[in-house]
Amino acid sequence: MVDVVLQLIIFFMYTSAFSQFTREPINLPAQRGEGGEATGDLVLDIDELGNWSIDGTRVTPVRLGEITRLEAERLGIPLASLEILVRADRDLSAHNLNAAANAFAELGVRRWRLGAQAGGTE
Amino acid sequence: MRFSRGQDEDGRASPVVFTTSFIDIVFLLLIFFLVTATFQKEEDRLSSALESQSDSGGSGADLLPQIIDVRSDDSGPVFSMGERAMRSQDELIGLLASLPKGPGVFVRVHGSAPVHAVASALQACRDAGFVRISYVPAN
Repeated sequence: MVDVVLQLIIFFMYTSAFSQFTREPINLPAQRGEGGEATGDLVLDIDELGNWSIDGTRVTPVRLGEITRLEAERLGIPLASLEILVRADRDLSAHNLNAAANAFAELGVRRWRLGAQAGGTE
Repeated sequence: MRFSRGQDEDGRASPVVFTTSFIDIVFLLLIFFLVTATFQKEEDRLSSALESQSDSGGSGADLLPQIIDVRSDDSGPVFSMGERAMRSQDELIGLLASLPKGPGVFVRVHGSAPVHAVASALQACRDAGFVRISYVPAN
């Protein structure tokens, strides 16, 4: 009995995704995606109210610019090579997405990824 | 901590650790991991290049830019290419599949469209075989 319980504990310890705890729960659009990990050098969350946040901290467009530049400096890469992941609420107006896109484009960011809930279709 | 002393083969006293209460700790750990386990849904991504409205129209390489407009009206999201308007992702994939893939495709997003429609358009481009996909926020 104790062996089984220990095996279960090891299983739960191994499969616990502690890194995911930092991600905000956002109702992402359901799509098949590209079959890659939803990761980025910088992850911007846009909730159902249109609030922008990074690692759970609200950011303004100005602060977003500062953080983006700092992240590029920290990684030692140009802004054009920075990979941005945007996790936006599926029902949100694209106006908010466009505002983020314009902010990144003005900074010199050239590529971004839209987060999606894997395995579904809208 | 109290240890009782047993005897080894040589008759010397050796400490014995009672492990009876160990099962309690193990069960507590099990309950903790069961309760805190979060079986999160897997996330994926849809990549695209970022373009501004002014960048997307006048480039010499884009003599005939293939542009999908994503907007929304009273009936829901609409994907349009030129004169043709589509309501479903499948229709859009069908049209995109017949287009040349080399020049790439621009997804021009209007503020009225919901985010899920944008994701739907980006997914359609990918499913139709496009590699060069550009996101253009509409003015």
